[in-house]
Parts: sequence; structure tokens; C-alpha cells
Amino acid sequence: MAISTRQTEGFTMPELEYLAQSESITIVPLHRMDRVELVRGVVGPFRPPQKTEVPLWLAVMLKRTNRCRIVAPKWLAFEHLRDLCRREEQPDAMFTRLPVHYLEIAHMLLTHAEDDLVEPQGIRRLLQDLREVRQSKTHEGLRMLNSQQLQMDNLSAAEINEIRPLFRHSFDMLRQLDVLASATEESQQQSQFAENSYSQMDDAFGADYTH
Amino acid sequence: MDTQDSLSGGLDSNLGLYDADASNFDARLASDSMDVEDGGGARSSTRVDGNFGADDSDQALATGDEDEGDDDDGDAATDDDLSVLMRAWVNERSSPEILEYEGAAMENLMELVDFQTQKMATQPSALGNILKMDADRVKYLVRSYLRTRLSKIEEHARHYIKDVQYRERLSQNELEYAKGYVELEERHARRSFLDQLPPHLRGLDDVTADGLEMVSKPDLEAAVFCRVRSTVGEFQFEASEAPIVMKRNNIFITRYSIIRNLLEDGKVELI
Repeated sequence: MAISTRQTEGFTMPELEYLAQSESITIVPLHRMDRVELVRGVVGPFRPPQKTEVPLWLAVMLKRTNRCRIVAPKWLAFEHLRDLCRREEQPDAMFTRLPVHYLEIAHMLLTHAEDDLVEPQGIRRLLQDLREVRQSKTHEGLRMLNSQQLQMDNLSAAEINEIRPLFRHSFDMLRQLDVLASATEESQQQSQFAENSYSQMDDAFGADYTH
Repeated sequence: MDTQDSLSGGLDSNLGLYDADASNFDARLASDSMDVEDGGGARSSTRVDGNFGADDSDQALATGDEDEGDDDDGDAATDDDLSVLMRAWVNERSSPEILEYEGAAMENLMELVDFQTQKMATQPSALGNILKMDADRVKYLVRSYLRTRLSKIEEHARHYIKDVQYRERLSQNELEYAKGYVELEERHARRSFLDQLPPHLRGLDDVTADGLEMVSKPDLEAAVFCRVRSTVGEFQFEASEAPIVMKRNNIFITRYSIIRNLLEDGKVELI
């Protein structure tokens, strides 16, 4: 097996964090350092207290050795999250706009750079609330699922990954039922085929329940 | 800081150093003592100065306005190799069929990693650690990308080597791998039971009268999640349905076959 079965069903949490670590973030360096040429381009030069942009992995790396302060992104501020939460809770509200990797980024910053955040406890609580509201909304969304398409703007990578197995299987199930429905319609004139498709339907159900 | 062997000796021997588990990087973020300062001035470089993060991050900063603001600006054409490969990796992981091989981007990246590896040996450890981490991240990506493709090849090896369209998507090495895989599988089946069956039951790629094939194919109707990269405009998901406007950053769950062409054109990406 070239990859694990877990990986064929979506991404693992470390993999999502890997992707999130490529996002850029602002830091305030605490030590001087020249510019660094990375594979993706140049970062720096680091001249305290001038802010500069680096990929998140580098920010965390520098932070861990106490060589920078991380500037929390705007969306991770307590007030901003509180507003988002309120908006998210309104009936019929769409998903509010957040970075694709907001959960992973927030998690990494709360773990490695808690002292750079204002009211980290409050932020944790709000993130949790936000996540729960959004989760219940995605589950509502499952009701609207059909076999063609469903639009779900502003869902984040982690959220999609979480609902992927359920949505994928439901979607496939609906698709099979659609095929059978049209097959059944056709076969109403030809009773001989009808029998056939009912046994097919049994197969389809049987196959899916084993998941 | 351990220097690494030259990367030219085939990807796999090098990549073998790294576990498939990304959490490894976390361990690498380690707090090994880094001495500050000096990294030598401007170094010769063969790279393009891609300002990273300029690609998709504009969607990141959620400001107050809920308005999607038809920001169709950066048409994502200025992608650096790393972004290309990252997207290819995510697409590959999420799509039911094998996709086009990103050979060029990968070769460029491995060359760069090679260059960086040579450079890091001469750097003070603080800087060396950063370069190593950076190179390791690229190697991890390449490795996971190749492994993902291998696992998909194993899934439908017989179909991929038979179908011209798919065969062209495989790299030379992958094609050899697929052939070898099919051969091994066939030999095993023959030795263990096929040879004991009557000759007309020995086929491994038979097609029954009602079109049921023995060779498995990727399910192109499978459900996928995709995000629009550059505004498509009105798009007909289903012939019988009204078209739906696809704007940048919209997210849909739909059947793979519907967005297959859009994915090929880079108009959407899977997530």
C-alpha cells in the first residue's frame, strides 16, 4: 500500500496542518538576520522591529526559539471572532468568510504563540462556538443534498475534510437511487425489466449499508 | 546539521529519509539551539523570486464585507512550482482518476532542493536549520504526491496501461511500475488458481455480453468537493437544470465528471 486507507478518504490532520503552514503570516523579528532564500522565494531581511511576512512554518520555528513575535491575523482577534459568531448564529445566515485553513492556523498559533494573542482563552472559546454553529449548519446542508450539486461557500479545508466521508457516501447513494428511479420509470411498461431493477436496488442498498 | 547525499540519485532513495507522516515536521520544528545572525550577504541564486503567499491568500483576510467582490484579479497564472505541486497533490488525492503528471514542476523543485542542500552545509546552523526544514517540506510533498499516484495506479493498473489517454498521464517510471504490477498480479493469479480453470475462464479482462467488464475503472461519477479558482460564469451542472453562476472561491460538492474539464483547465481545484 502506497498510502494508508485513511488517506484515501481525505486528508489527515497533520497533512492539513502541512498545507496551512505554507500560508504567510506577519512576524516581528527579535533578532537581526539577513534575507533567506527559500525554495518558494526570499524572506526577510529581518530587522527588528520591522514587521515582515514569512510562511507559517518559519514563524513557528522562529517563535519556538524565541526569535520572533507573531502578529495575530486580523480574523483571529477576539472582537472579530465575536462578530463572526453573532453573524453566524443568525437564522439563514450563510457561512461567514474565514481563511481556508483558519482552524489549523488558529490551532497552531494557540499552541505555539499563545502569548502573542490577546485573550487567548476567549479566542479558544469563540472558535469552539464558531465551529459548533458551523457544524450544525453543515449538517442542515445535508438535507439539501441532491445528486447534482450543492454549493457550500466559505467552508474551510478542515470542515470539508470532516464532512467528506458522510457527504460523499450520501451523494453517491442519491446518485444510485436516481439511476434506479429512471430505470424503474422506463421499465414500467416492461414488467420483466422491473423485476430486474428491483433486485438491482437491493444490491445497491446492500452495498451501501456495508459502509 | 547533517549534509545529505546528492539528490540526483533518483528521488526515492532520498525521499526515503522522510516518513510519510507530516507530523514529523512538527518534531523538526524542534528547539535545537540556533545561533543568531549572519548568513552571508547575497548568494548566487538560480531561482525566481516568487513572493510566496501571494496566490490564494487574498481570500484569507476576512474583512467585514460579506461581499465576494468579484475579485477576479490574480488569475493564478503566476504560480510558482511549489504552489503548482501542492495543488496537484491535493487534486490527486481528491480525484477518482489519475491526473496529469506534474513532471516539470517536480523536477524544478528537486533541482532547487539539491541546490539548497549544498548551500545549507556552508551555513551557520540557525540558517542551515531553516533551509533544511524548507527542503524537507518540499521533499515531503514530492514523496506524498508520488505515493498517492502509486496507490491510484495500483487501484486500476490494468485500465491505465490499456487506455492511451491515461497512459500519457503517467511518467515513464510510473508506466513501468504499472506494467510490472499487472504482470505480477497476473502471474500470481495464474499460479494460484487460474491455470486450474478451464481455458475459457482464464481471462482477466473479459467483457460479458451485457457490457460488464472485469477490468476496474475509476468511478468518474464520484462525489468531489471543488473550489472555483477563476470565475467561470454560468455553468450547466445538469442538462435539465438551470445554469449556476460559478464565481471565484465558490465551493461545490458535485460529480467529478461534471467538473472534469474545468479541473483540467485549472478553473477549479479539488479540496
